Amino acid sequence: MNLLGWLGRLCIGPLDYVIDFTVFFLRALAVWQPHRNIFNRAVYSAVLGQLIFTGVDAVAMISFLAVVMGIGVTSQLIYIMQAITGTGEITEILARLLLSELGPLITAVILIGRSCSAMAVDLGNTKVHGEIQSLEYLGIDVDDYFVVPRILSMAISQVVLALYFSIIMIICGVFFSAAIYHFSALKSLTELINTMSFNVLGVFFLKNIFFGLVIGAQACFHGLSVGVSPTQVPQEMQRAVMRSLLFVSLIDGYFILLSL
Amino acid sequence: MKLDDSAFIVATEAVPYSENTELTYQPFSCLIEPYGLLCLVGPHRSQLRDYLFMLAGIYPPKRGQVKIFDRDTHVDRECWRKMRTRIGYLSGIAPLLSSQHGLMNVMLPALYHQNKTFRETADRARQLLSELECDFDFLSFPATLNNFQRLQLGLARALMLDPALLVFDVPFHDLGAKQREIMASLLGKYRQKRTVCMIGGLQYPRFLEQHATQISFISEQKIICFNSWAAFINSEDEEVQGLISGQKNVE
Repeated sequence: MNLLGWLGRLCIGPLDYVIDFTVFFLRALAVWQPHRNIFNRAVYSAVLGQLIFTGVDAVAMISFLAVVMGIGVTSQLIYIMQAITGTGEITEILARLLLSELGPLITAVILIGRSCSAMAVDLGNTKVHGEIQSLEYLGIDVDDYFVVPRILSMAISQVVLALYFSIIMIICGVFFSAAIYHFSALKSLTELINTMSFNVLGVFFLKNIFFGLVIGAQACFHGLSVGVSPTQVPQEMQRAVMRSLLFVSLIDGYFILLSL
Repeated sequence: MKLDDSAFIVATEAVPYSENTELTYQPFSCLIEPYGLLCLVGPHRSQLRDYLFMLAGIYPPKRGQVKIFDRDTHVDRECWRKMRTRIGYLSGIAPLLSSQHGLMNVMLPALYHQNKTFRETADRARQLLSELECDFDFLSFPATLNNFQRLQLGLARALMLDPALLVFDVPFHDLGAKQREIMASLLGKYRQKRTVCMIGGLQYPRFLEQHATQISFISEQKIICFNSWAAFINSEDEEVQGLISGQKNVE
């Protein structure tokens, strides 16, 4: 009986979680409902604050990692591809692997580690201390003031930072490789730009928007899942991080399947 | 602020929602007139808070009816949000938003509900804080302020939308004798043109003596309503006397 119960819980648990998270996500983004009020200066200032925290403050770290990854990964990739196939194939590899995969994924991992965890802890502590409840009593909707700005800023930051990361990584890698292996960096970059079609860019933006939405929503969902005990804050933060990574992987897998 | 004849709270045989299954809740009926002050007193703080939240329209009653501003509190979320703009809430225990500085905490309800500019809202908040004799830096974060200063900010936040009804949830909590006196004078100043519903009044009985128009004693067995402080302290009910003498011992 216990084994059956355990198996049942094992099957129902993840399904329950996905339903809860989906409902939370859709409810938070249903801003057209009459009781919602997101077009006001309180929400505007929250969005700005979150954009600065999630996007602007992360630029330095993203730049550093992009340069390091560019020199380390891109140049290695160029070297291997040159040795195997020749210059012609490099641009497609750069476009497919670095721009479509590595850039968005590394940016997502950085944002999960840096901002998702911080958001979950921030919201968790705010909830534990009863700060949210007293605002609700003044008619301020939690979704409007706490959730929407975080999800929105995470999505914007993910798109912009992934683009920035990919560009810096490719430019650094190509120029570094050009200096060592003596090929035309400008030619490679021009070819790369020429391979950029509306579809490639569309998929890139769509994928990053989904990444950002899911990371932001995960942070808020777990942050607000904290009950009355402060010990739940690190637990929920951990869940937010791990499940963000899982969801990002699943979304990435889905986009890979689409592009095959 | 315009306070019309409809600015009553009317409770009819109302029983609050509660997650506390250990306490028994008696049906409560009352009528609070404009500019009246109702204080709920009794042996169980959590029980009083449930009644307060019901009368403040935060939660609709489990049974019976509560009307605020002539509207039933069983309303949809849009009406609920609009209703909240006319009801200020001050809590002595619920903290301010720690991630925002004091001025922003005060401005927040107005920025959310009203379509005024940052400058206008900040000016109004600064004016309110000056009226409340706040002598600290308005840009300080709540964590760096003492309880009294945080309560001043909380009161300013509650008053920011110029509400017709004020809800005080233990406003004298964790204050020293002198600070209670100052807080009582501030609350007294702002309640003159507003209806007030509160709990925790016995922490500074002088405030009730001066301002209470109704005092309702609520326990598990009974609810007794008094129309003045004098009637309350002269009550011959054992439980009421027990509460008063217990309070004196605490003081």
